[in-house]
Amino acid sequence: MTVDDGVLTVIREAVHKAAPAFDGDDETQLITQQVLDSLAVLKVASRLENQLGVPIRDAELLPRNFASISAMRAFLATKGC
Amino acid sequence: MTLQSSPRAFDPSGTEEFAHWLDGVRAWAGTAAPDMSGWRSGAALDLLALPVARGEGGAGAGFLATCRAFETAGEGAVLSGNNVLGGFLFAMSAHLWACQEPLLAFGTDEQRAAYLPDMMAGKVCGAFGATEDGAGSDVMSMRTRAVRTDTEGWCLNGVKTFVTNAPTADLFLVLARTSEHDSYGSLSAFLVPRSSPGLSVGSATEIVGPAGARTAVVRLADVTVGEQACLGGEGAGFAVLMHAMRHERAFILAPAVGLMAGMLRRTVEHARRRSQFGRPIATYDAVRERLVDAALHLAAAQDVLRATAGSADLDELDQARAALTKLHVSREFNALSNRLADVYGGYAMMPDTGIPQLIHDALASRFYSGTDDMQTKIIAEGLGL
Ligand SMILES: Cc1cc2nc3c(=O)[nH]c(=O)nc-3n(C[C@H](O)[C@H](O)[C@H](O)COP(=O)(O)OP(=O)(O)OC[C@H]3O[C@@H](n4cnc5c(N)ncnc54)[C@H](O)[C@@H]3O)c2cc1C
Repeated sequence: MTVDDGVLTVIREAVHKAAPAFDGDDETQLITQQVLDSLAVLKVASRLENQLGVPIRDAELLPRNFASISAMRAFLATKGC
Repeated sequence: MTLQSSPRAFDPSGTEEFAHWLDGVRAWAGTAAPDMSGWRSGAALDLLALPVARGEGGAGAGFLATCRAFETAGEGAVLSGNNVLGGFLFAMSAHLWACQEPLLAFGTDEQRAAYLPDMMAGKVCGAFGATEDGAGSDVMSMRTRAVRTDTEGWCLNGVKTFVTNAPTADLFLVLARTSEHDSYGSLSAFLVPRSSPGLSVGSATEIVGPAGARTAVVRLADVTVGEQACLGGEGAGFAVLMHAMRHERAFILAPAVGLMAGMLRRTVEHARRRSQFGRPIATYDAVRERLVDAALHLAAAQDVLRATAGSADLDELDQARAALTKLHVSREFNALSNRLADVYGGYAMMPDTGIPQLIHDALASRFYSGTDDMQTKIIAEGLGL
């Protein structure tokens, strides 16, 4: 369980916005369990960019960076969030 | 062309030296043949190194300067009567945006070192294979598969269609399914050299435009490549596709904007020379209005293309802006073609006027890099719809 520092809330909101029916937790595998399809990943990425003011490059749009809410948190931490 | 007159030697943003260098590009476009000799002489001018950072061995000229160069080449080709060069410039752009650019963004040091210098030098021609017979707009339904081999590599099977540059390409950037799930990580991208056993290229597909560009079917039958052929790692295929399309949609029509400018000038000349009812047709309001409309279409296309390139130089190019640029410039291209055709009357049917080719090139622009409907979908997404 990761401590919520605000960034986590933004990620959870972004996932819910892209997949309103999502009722998993931070560890749920969003891509392999097909919670997020290709378009939804792009939506999440663009929301994170806008809300957190951090640019996400195409080369960072990798499945491992968006695999779960926790994976996104870890990825964003590498970008100083 | 000496090194001093290459954009590597100066800051190209709006300088007199850049304008002088563009004169060289215009002259090249007037005589270049749409074959590998033209490809290499264009590369010798640095056309394929323009947007690549100096740290990567490129000219570091940026996206706006690159678009200006391809516009200039398109215009120069038309004004010299080198009508087939428009599609050849499109083919060079496909190499640049759909193969070289993803290699730059996703390539490891080794992958970039293996291909980038030769791609910029015009020694390695690149092609991008995403589309398949059953997977056009719905590209995610592609059936080409790559499966892991026992020896730390991949085995590819499938058939790619409409592959621009395929007849001459040395390197294919191929998208393939690496997972049976229909999910985000199900595609991967592979750098496949032409010499790979099992890769075969069909004869050039007969298309009426863009002239000078050549596409073909590419078959992959048990093509094995090493782990180092995978670009961006397993599952990065969709991200590679998005990167390629973002750049292609934004900039692929730069040469077309040059064609538009050149054809407008040629048509103005025609209107001044051609007389009916005892006076030049350029004196009739109906004809003048068509040419003024064409000038408006050109200005609208130029402005949006250049503003997009400027925003890309600031690292602010998103998918919606790229799609908007493609859709807008393509619409202006088609509208201008029809306006100019009317000025020629029956002569518009003669290939020498360049009008039939212009109309076919404009038509093709509604389909490649995604159809108008696909661009509309992406723009609507960007609007939050
Ligand atoms: C000159 C040229 C060069 C090309 N070069 C390449 C290349 O180098 N590499 C490559 O991979 N591909 C290339 N392509 C292929 C190009 O990307 C496809 O033609 C394009 O994506 C459209 O696919 P399609 O032709 O199968 O049309 P289809 O997908 O069959 O579309 C037919 C019609 O249906 C519409 N349609 C389809 N789905 C929808 C929907 N969901 N909503 C609304 N309308 C829809 C389309 O907009 C279109 O009007 C090239 C094409 C051309 C013409």
